[in-house]
Formats: sequence, structure tokens, C-alpha cells
Amino acid sequence: MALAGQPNVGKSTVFNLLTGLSQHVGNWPGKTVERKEGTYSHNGISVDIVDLPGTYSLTANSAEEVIARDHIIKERPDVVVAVIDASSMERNLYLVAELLSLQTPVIVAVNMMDVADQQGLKIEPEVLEAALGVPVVPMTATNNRGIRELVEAVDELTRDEATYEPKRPEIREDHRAVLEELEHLVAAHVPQPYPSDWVSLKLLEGDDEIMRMMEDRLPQETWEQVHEILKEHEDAVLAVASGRYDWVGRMTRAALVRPGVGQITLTERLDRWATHPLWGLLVLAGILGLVFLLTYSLGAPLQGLLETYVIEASARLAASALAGGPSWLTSLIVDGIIGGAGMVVTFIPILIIFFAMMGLLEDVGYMSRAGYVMDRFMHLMGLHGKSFLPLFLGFGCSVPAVMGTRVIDSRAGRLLTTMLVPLVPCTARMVVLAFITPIFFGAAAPLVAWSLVGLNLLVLAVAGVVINRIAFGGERAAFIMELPLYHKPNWQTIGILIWQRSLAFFKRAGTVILVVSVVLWGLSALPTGDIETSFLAGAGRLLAPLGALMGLSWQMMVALLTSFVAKENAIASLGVLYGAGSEAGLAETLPTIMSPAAALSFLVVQMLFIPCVATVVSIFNETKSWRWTLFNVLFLLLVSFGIGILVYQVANVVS
Amino acid sequence: MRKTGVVIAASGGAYSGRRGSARGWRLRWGSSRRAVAPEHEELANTVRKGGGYDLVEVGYEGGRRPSIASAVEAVIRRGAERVVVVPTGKLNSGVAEVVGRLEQRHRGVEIVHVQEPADTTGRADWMIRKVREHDPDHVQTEAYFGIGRLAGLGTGETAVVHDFDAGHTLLSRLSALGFTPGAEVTMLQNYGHGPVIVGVRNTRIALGRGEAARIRVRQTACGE
Repeated sequence: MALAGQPNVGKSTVFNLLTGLSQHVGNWPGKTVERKEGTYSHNGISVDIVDLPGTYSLTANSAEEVIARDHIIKERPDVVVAVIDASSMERNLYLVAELLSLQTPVIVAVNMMDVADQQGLKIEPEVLEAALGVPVVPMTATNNRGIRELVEAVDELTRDEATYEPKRPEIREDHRAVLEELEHLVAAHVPQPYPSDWVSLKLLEGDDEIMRMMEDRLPQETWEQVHEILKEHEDAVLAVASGRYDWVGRMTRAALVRPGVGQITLTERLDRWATHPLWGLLVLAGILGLVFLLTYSLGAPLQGLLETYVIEASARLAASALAGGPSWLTSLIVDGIIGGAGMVVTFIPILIIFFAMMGLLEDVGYMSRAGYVMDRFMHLMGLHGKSFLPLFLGFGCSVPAVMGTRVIDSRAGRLLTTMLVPLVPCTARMVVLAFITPIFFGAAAPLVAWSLVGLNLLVLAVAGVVINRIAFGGERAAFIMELPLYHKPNWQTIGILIWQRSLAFFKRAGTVILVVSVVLWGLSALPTGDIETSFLAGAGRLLAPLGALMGLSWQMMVALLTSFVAKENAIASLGVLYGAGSEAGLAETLPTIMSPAAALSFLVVQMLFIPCVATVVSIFNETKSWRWTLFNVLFLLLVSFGIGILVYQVANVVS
Repeated sequence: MRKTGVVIAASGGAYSGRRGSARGWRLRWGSSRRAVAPEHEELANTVRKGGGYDLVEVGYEGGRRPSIASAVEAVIRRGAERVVVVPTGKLNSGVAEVVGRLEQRHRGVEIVHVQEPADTTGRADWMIRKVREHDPDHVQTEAYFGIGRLAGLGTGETAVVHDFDAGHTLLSRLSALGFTPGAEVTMLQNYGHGPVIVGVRNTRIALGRGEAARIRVRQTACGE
């Protein structure tokens, strides 16, 4: 069975309830769209469930829509369950209208009955069922109501398909003849398993993918005829859409009783503040401030605990266990593996807390308001409100942020956002910042730290404007976004969101970072076993002339190089290279060998430096383009060194 | 209560403005007499009596005297605190500019410029309204009536989607979200700049200003 539905209808909640933790998350072949599968088994019924991406329609406007319809047409699930939101049935039934024009039997699950109830909407499922001619199951997934009935309906329908007689929508009358003419022309050439009436309808809607497909299949002459008809009826998409909405109107007329107007809902009251051009910004600033405050005040102590009791303890354990073996092996395991990938583990608390709060804000419906309020600022960079969420996730970790760019509809917008994500200071960069600023700047440390974060955001804005101008010709994609109703958070949905985002980070940490930290360890240990004379130090010395321009010693340059594995490595590397041992020791050593100007330039470069290896891999995975990935690395290299040199020279002159 | 004066803005004839040409000179010469044409005098009188306004003046655009500006000055001199400038028909576009300058000069006076139904849609609307006044059997057609852009709706206003000025991709996305001809839309938030929030088919949709300007709507309050 396949689960279809528009965004924000609680489809994931239904999926999570059905499959629990049996779900398997991957990508649709060749696409960067998540594919979720799972199994429901209870009382001898076992159902394999595929969660289709949330889409408003089935026309080829986005990768999600193509995936959803290709799955239904080509992989032929036994049943498609269409999850719809009871509180906005009209718009939701539009997708059902599209689903019904395919061959696969459909069951309609009317979710969020409680929300409709609160709004005073009266829905009669039996009437709707009679009108649609397909089974209708009322549900409130957040309260676990209706799940069993849904499974029973699926089971019943698959057993006895003969009773399935849906009343399908028709195109508006003035275009009916054209549709027939089209179908007559193409019917003989439509490839299996596409239904020919559906293909004609999609042609009339101007669906790019189906157009291309039929252009390949049809004889030249016929295609020209078809093309002529389509050109003549360019507005047919409206006739098709109107036809569907007429149908929706007929379906809901009897089954839906609306309350009187003038009722002010909770959402309207909250939105007066949350989407106001001025108050909305203040609300956003307040909420984000709270997110940071909670993340760091709760996360930092936990991070310290993990470091002491897990990383250092296991390093000691490994060291004593390997005491009899060769010293390089001890070094490899303790410094290379535990030191590198282990450091990553200490980010668990901070990331989980951050993702939990982001997940909560998303689930209650606030994040789309944040995007709305930020739209006018995103505008300046040729982006729009939808880019705000991925960019903001970047304050946690760039990896899920890069993956989060999938919500943006246009490729140009997605690419541009991806290019900008590394400029958002992630938690790891903030850790380095928080460690170094107090050493050099005393009471002014918070000011310096915030200015550096501000510098990053400024560079981000400028880079956005410039890249958009040069690469995309200043183009801007359409901003169309649904603002869902606010609702009570669903803890399971948030939990799964945290789990998936953290997992994305740890998968990278577990593979890429591990490999690269071992390689880096090799470079720092070979050929002599002493880091001072290692290949890595050699590379650092080679870069020393460049470093001198920024006031950076070769040790600092090496620290930057190692931060490519993971940003927080910079501190550890400095500790090793300056022979300081612990962090406290490093805090004492640093001021004696570094001027504040050099420290400032080091921080500037570190904040703007190339992203860590995990992020680079993610950027490649999402963009599927070496050119863009390489461009991002080179661009940031140039920007960070350029601004670093500038800051150092100016700071020197000033002091 | 503010005292209201009326200025009837009339066309000053087909003065081409080509300095030096014989026709231009003659018209310029001929029309610079400080006299109001008899038909406009009659119009002003009718408005005086019919509307109960004692401050009614006629002004001409395009060089003929008395000018619109001097007519406005005249009613203000005689005590008008609000001046409504109404056009007799299609005028050149300079009137708005003149009114703007007068507004600068008389800060305390409210000067309203009633836009003439200059474009085809506006004139057709007026004609349809007139025809319908005499045609009690008229069918409710989707005539051009109060058509504007969605972005132009104020907060709380409701209208019906008329059609789109959009490319195929945008059209297809908008219609999937419920924006189809005939669908009722309510502007939930419009601050005159930045994105807007629109209610359509019981959902709230945030739209960029540019996108909202591509949806043509007609107002439902009047006519239908």
C-alpha cells in the first residue's frame, strides 16, 4: 500500500503509527528525496507501506510529484491511501481527484477530525463515502484514533475489489471534445503501464515530463498535430483544475457543514503577532534566542560530561589495554580514531537539543511563519522564505542543513542556499570561538564573538547577492508556501525528526570523518612519529608564507587544515602542536605566542573557512555536481583568507 | 465636517503642444481666453444644484484657461477644506501631477483626484453598469467588473479569482493550491510591501508580492 497526501496533513504521523520503528529510510533511486518504507503487522494482517512524498498535485512541478505518480503507475501498489486534512477538505480532495484518475484503488483517510471539530466543521464520512464511491475512514492520528479501521478498510478492499466504483472527476465541459480528440491521437502510442486517458489529460495540463515522453513516442506527424492542439488550448490547465474543483465542490457539499463566519481561530490570533512585519521579527528573534540559550545552557554541561566520562575514559582504557603493543597502534587508536571521531560524539547533546527544538517549532507549525517573516530579507539574496529553515538548521550542523535544502522548489534556489549554508556558524565553529575569545579578549570576548557571528552573516548576505547575480542572473523563484494551522506537537513525529537528522550527522561521522581522521593522523605521525617533523607539519610550513600575511604561524595553518575533518579539531591540533597537553594548558600558552591581532584573524578565517569534510560530501550528494562542490570549497578558501588578511593588516595598523 | 469644493476637470481640446506649428499656435491663442465653455458651465450648475455644493469650478487641462490648478486655487480661496477633482472624460495623464503639486502647496487641504475610467476595462465597466440600469433582465455574466490584482486587496477584503498573468509552471502550482478562476480568496494580511497571506479554500497560503500581483481578481461586494 502507498500513503499519499498533501504536505501538513499529518501523513508522517499516520505512517509512524502504522510502522513504528520498522521503518526504513533511504532515497528514491537517483533522487535526493527521502523514501520511507515500513511494515504494519497485527492480528495476522501484514501490510507493506511506502510513504510517498507530500505533494499538492500529481503534475510534474517537482521531483516529489513525479516520484509519487511514478510509484503509483509503475510499481502498482494494491491500494493508495490518501490522507487528507479534515479542516481543509476542499484543497485536499484535489489530490484525491488526481489519484482517482489513475487505476489504483484509493481509500480516503480523513485525518485531523479533532481540528475540524474545534473549528466547528461537521463532517459526515458516510455521506462523503457515498459521494466519492471509495471507502472513507475518519481519523485523528495524533490521538491514535482510526488506525485500526484504516487497516481493516485496506484489507477489505484488497480482498474484494469488485465493489470499488469511484466517481471520477471530469474536465470542464468546454474542453471535453479536445480531450477526446487528444486521446484518439495518442492512444495507440502510450507506453505501458500508463493509462492513455490519464496521459491525454496530463498533456492538456502541459505536464513537461509527459510531453517529453510522448514527443519521443509519437510519429513526427502526429506529434505536430498534438502540439498544434496543445498550443491552441494553452489555458486548458485551468479547465482541468476547475473541473477537479467542481467535482470537489460536489463531493463536499453534502458531507461538510461549515460553521458561521466571524469565528476567530487560535491560528488567526497567534498569526497577528507571528506574521506581523515588526512584531513577527521580534517574536522570531525571541524564539531563536531561546533556542540558542537552551541549546547551550543545557548542552554544554552534558558535552563536558561526555568528554570526561566517555571519550577520555575510553581513551585511557584503550591506552592501558594496548600498553603492551607497539606505540604507533596506541597512537592510531587513541589519537586517530577516538580523538577524531570520538570528538564528534560529544556533539550529541547539543545537536539533539537543537534539533528537538527545531523539530518542535516545525511540528507546531511555527517554522513556516518564520520563513514568511524572513522572506523580505531572503529576497535581497534572490532567495525566499523557504530557504530560512535550512539556513537556520546550519547553526546546529551544516550536514542536515544541506539536506534540508530539499524543501526549496527551484534548483537555482536550492543550489544557492546550499552554497551559503557553510557560512552559517555551526556548533563546532562556535565551540572554537567560545574557547579562544575569552583567552585573548577578556571582558570584550562576548562582543568579539557576536561580531564574528555577525561578520559571517554579513558575508553570507553579500555572497548570496553576488552568487545570485553572477550564476543565476538575479532570478528569483516563486514564493508560495502553505501556513498550516498551529496544532499541538506530536512527540513521536518530533522524535523521529530528531532521530533522522542526528542519524544523518552520525552516519557521516561514523564513516567519512573516521576515515579522514585516520588519514590525518597518518600524516601527522609519518614518517618520524613526531608531529613536528611530520608531513602535516611540512604542509603547514609550506603554507607559512601565506599564513604570515594573516599573522598565522605554521601551527595555526595546520590547525586550520585539521579543522577540515571536523571544526573542533582546531583546538586539539593547537594543543598538540604547541605541546600544551590539556585545554587549560593551551589557554595559558596561547597568549604568550600569539598577538590579539593574529588571534582575531585566526578566528575570522576559522569561522569562514571551507566546510568540514562531512559537509563537503553532503553538498556533493545533494547537488550531484563536482563543479558546484569544488566552487564552494574554493570560494570559501578565497573569502576566508582574503578577509583574514584584511582583518590582520587593519588590526595591526590600529593597534 | 470639512467644507467640500468640486473641480470639474475637462479636456482642453486637441492641443498638440507643437510650438510653432500653425495649428498649435491658433489653438493656443484661441483657448487662452479665460472663459468656460457653455456646456461645462451648465454641467457645473447642475452639480451645484443637484449635489448641493456651492463651490464648483471648471478647470481645463492642456494649456486652456482656466487651468485645473487655478480652479482648485479658486475653491480653496473661497473656503474649501477638501477638494474633489472629477474628470468629465478621458484626460491626459498630467492631472495627477498637477494635483500632487497642489497638495504640496496646500498642506491643510485634502485634495482628492477621482481617477477617470480611462482604460478600456474601466470604460467598459461603466458602460455595462449603464446598460444594466436599463436592462432588468440582464444575465449575471462574468463581465469586466472591478478587476484588480490580488496584491492590491487590502487586509480583510474578499474577491474572486478572475484569471492569471502567469507562466505555465506558476499557473499549475497555483491551481493545485486552490487558486482557480471562480475561487473565493480573502486577503488575510497585506501591509503594502513584502509577502502577503491569502485565505483560499480554507487554507492559509503565503505568497510573494510578485506572485500575488500575477493573480487577477474581481471584487464581489458590488455588482454580482
